[in-house]
Amino acid sequence: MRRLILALAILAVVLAVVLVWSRHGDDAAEPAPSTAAGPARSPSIAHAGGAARPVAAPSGESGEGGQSGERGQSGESQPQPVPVDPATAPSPDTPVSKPAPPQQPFTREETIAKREADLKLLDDTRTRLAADLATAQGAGSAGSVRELEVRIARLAELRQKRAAELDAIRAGGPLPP
Amino acid sequence: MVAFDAKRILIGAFVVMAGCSTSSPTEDPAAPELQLADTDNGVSGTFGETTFTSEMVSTNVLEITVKLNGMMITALVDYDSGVMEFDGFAKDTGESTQMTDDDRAALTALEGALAPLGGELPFALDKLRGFVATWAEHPSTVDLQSIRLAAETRSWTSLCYAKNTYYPASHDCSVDGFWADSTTLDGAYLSSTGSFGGPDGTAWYFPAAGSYQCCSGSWSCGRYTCSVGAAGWYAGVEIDHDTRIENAYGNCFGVCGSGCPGSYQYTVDCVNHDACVRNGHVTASAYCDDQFVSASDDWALAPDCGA
Repeated sequence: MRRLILALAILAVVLAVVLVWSRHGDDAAEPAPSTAAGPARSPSIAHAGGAARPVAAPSGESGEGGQSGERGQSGESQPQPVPVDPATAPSPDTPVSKPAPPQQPFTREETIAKREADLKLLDDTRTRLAADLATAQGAGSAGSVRELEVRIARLAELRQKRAAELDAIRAGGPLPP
Repeated sequence: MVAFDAKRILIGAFVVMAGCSTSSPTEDPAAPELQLADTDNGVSGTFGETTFTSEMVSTNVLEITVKLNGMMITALVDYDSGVMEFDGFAKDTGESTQMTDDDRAALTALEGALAPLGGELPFALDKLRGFVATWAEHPSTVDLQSIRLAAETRSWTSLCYAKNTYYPASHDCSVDGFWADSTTLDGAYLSSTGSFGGPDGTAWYFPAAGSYQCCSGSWSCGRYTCSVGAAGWYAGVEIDHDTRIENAYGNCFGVCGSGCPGSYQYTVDCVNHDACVRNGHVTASAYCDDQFVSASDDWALAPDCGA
């Protein structure tokens, strides 16, 4: 009996591995995000009072990796072109507009000035949300209180991050894209 | 800098319009209704399970919040300094999260409800619509938390002058870089022409009878051969980097946001983003991440060129 249970357990593990491996093959058609340090995606995380949310995947870098000519899923339809009403089409003598000049990136000085304004924006927002929180607490609005607490905590973290980024820019570090 | 008068935000009329423009007794009774309400400095509302606010929280700062599927996404726009902060997180815990297909679908549905409200909207409502329309195409592989430094001709460039003309469009991806033959349309026709249906609602000019590269797929474009019997405009397919196809139009090609969102902000970045997601890549393709990021501030600042 114990051997039977062990055999069934091994079979279940093998089936799970095969299932996971087959899904990995489908996902490989789109480029994998760059693997910066970060939590693994876990779609089954439950959040109290709300729908389960996937944890943030590492940010992707477009155009990196992957293969040219993405493979499609089996069973997807392959429609053929259908003529459109010529009355809606551009006339043959429709002009071609001159391209706009390329957008110029911000200088280091401009970037620093805007980033300083960003810190003020974040500080002002935290102050405002703190006032809203006090109001919500006074009104006993538990839902609003929780949301505001979450936003304020997140803003505090973001403010630290942005301040560090600004310090790095001031110190001559590379300008963010 | 944007000049506006908060006292002119007359949402009341649009509360009535929203009620009239959404489902009637003859339509699907299960379809959500768009509900709008005045706030002190903007608008709040619901659409099914999605809730939102858009307010001028000071004389120069716009704040938008949208709550859907257990997530809150936020936008802070400082119109004086040209700084924007975007974020998205699990509403109850503050944990970072990512945009999913369900989220994009919910935002697309909200966009569809806001589009019929017309062109002349109060500022906060107009910006909400632009934000929702843009975020409806937010890739899963782009971080929901980001900062954007914005200024005209630096981070966005209006193409109002190019409305109803052909304009070159390009993108970079694994196939090739910007302005290569395979990634470039010599002339996308920028217009308010609506959707032709099919994968992206876009019509393409096939220059001769023959076989071309098309693609299909809900999450990645699988290449296959499509054929036409004569030169002309055709729809119902997505072209896949075919170097012979140089012209496209339809589904508000070049307008910021998904499809035709109800306002008509034509910009360089939005043209290029459409060129990416309609030419061999699905809407949320990671290959179009940089085109999305470039276009992610245009909704807030670019002028409405009109239909």
